[in-house]
Amino acid sequence: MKLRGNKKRLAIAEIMGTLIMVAITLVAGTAVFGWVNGQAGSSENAYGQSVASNVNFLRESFSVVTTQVLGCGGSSCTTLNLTLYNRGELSLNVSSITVATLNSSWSLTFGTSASTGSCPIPAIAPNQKVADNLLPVSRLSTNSYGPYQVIIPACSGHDMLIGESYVVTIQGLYGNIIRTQARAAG
Amino acid sequence: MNLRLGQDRRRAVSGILVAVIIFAVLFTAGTGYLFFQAKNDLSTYQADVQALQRRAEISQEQLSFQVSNRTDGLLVTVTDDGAYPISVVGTFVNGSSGRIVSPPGVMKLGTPVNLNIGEKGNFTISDTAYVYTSGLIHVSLVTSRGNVFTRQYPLNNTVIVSTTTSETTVSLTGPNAGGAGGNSLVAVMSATPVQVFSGPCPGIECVTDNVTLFNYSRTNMTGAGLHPTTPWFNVTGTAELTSTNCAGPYTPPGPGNNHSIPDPSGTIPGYNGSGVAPHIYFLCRYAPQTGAVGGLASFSGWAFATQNKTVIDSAGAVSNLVQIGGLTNALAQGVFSTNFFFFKYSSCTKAPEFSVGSFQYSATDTCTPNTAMPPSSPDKLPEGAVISGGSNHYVAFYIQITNNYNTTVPLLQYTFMQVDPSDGGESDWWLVGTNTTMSNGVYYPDYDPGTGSQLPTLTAYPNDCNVVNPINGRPIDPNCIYVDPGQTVTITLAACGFSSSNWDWGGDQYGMAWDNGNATVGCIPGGATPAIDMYYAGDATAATTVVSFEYRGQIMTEDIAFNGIAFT
Repeated sequence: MKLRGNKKRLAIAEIMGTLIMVAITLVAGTAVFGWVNGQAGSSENAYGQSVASNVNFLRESFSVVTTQVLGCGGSSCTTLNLTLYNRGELSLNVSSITVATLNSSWSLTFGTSASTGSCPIPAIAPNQKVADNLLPVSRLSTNSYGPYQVIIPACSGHDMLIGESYVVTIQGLYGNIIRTQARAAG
Repeated sequence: MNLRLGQDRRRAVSGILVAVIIFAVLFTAGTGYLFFQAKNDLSTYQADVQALQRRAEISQEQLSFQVSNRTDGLLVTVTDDGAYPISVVGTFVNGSSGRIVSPPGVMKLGTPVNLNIGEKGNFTISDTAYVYTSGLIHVSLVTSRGNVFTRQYPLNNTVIVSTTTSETTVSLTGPNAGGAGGNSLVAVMSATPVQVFSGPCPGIECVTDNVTLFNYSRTNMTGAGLHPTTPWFNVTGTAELTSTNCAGPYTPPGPGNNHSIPDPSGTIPGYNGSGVAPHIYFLCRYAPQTGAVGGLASFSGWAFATQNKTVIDSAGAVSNLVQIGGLTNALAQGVFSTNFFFFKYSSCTKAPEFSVGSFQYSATDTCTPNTAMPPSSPDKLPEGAVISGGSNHYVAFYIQITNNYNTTVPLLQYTFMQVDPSDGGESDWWLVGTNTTMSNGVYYPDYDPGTGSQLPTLTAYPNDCNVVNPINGRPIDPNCIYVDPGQTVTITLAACGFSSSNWDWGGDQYGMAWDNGNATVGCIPGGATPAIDMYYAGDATAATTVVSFEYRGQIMTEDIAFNGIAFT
């Protein structure tokens, strides 16, 4: 009897011990899982962003169909129209348009937000570009879907002289750059 | 014993459980991370492949199209000549000034013209802004891949025929065929009534164009050919022609031969002024599409040849007019014409002042050619009236390039010269061009005639003129040398004032017309003992001029060689 009683006590203690061990294991495992998952998540996030950026760069593709220099009066012109075609696989978001002379004597960069100063360079405002600055896939920025347009600010002192050619650089949101020339024919 | 056994069993179970749980945890997290990596790698790979595929399709997309004028607008017939199906999504028209006809600028086609490989389709540009009236226009098509294809309308009917009159005989074979010819390479043929072709070609249903090149110049011509090798064709109406080829050149039957003889060298003897001018001919065949209904076809292109050994034996002012495009009025024909003038002035009264780089001469320098360049006659030589006595020579070589094209073209490459004084001693020369790749006043010392060295080809800002703009053809660059329609650029290379063992060869680029401005050519200090005879009879002074225009991708070149220019 004594032996049996002793056996029962020992069995209970072992069960309790086992349960405690399992509990500790579960807690430790959960903690390990959480930590590993967290670490992996951070790496995944960074890697995913890198991959997404790369994939977007590869999918972004556009071409300049034609350029027009308008708004000519006297010896200079003020307006540059760019007709773009989005041949990529995602909506084209033009982040900047730079107009420069051939000899780089001056250049103006038009971004998606206006810069401040005594002579602010206007951003590619909604009335000067396609809506929301996005050109859907396989779309041509034609008259029905306005061409991208930049207007040289009158106060900048940078005139597009008639007869001169200018280098126009267009940069997409994901880093693709297209460079072309536009001539102020007058 | 039982206790020990029982304890051992429980420890083993809990250890396994722990191991399994930890492994499951690590396996779950690790596998998930690996799957994530693999998925992203696959995304990058797929995007890369798609980008490459897209670029391959863009680069291999090719189409040809023709434009014809209809009462309701311009009819554009497009054929997919590339390796992929094409969808034409937009169009725009450039006027003769190069600007888009506006409004409306680029026009999106409501329904894209979708073409499979080799398929043909058409659409009409019926917008009122595109109603064709006159002059040259350029029609551009935009495809769904973003490529822009441009074609001129109407086809360029300008012809270059180098010192020859080209004569084209066009014949339509078959019943009720009619034919028409002309006196230039541009030929128009018509069939009345409208001819229905049944093919095939070669055969009786061929449209043939016999292009004959006559040489009316005194001297032989070599390397005569056609450009393009099969002249362009344009058909109004519903007839469709498929370009085949031009065979030849052939020397026609004549004394000593009773049948045509292939002459790959393209040699045409000089014309002595009587009888039929020497000529060669090409036989060009175009295959009509079976079942096509003939309308009006025109062919265009130009012929070229090289004239060698034009001997200028006059020591005075000589002029060699190289007429391009026919017998009479060079200005009315041909893309450009060149005039060569070679002057030798017997003496200068004194040595002028000179500074390298600026080419500025003293106002009293009697060698300064302030008169119109080139002069109209020997007695109108620059400062000819006051050049008397003295002991220096003044030699000038002028090249006039006149644009007979009906639009402004940039002058890309214009000349090189080879001079061989054969005088011994040091021969220095320099060449100045304000619109050349060489900076103003570049000095080339120690020119060694024995090596056969020659002045380099002058290229007018090739980097700027050659900027490829896939949109509007090639943009007009203000830095390029432009020759407006009917205008002339005069290039002058001159030397003056020689010592016995030193002489200079200089030149400058003149403006776009007769240069009446400040002198840019003159004498250099001749030294204590100016030489009288710098050039000796028999010295093979040679000048070769290559003139190239490039206009919307077409390179037009004329190569004229002078040999044996002797001075006594």
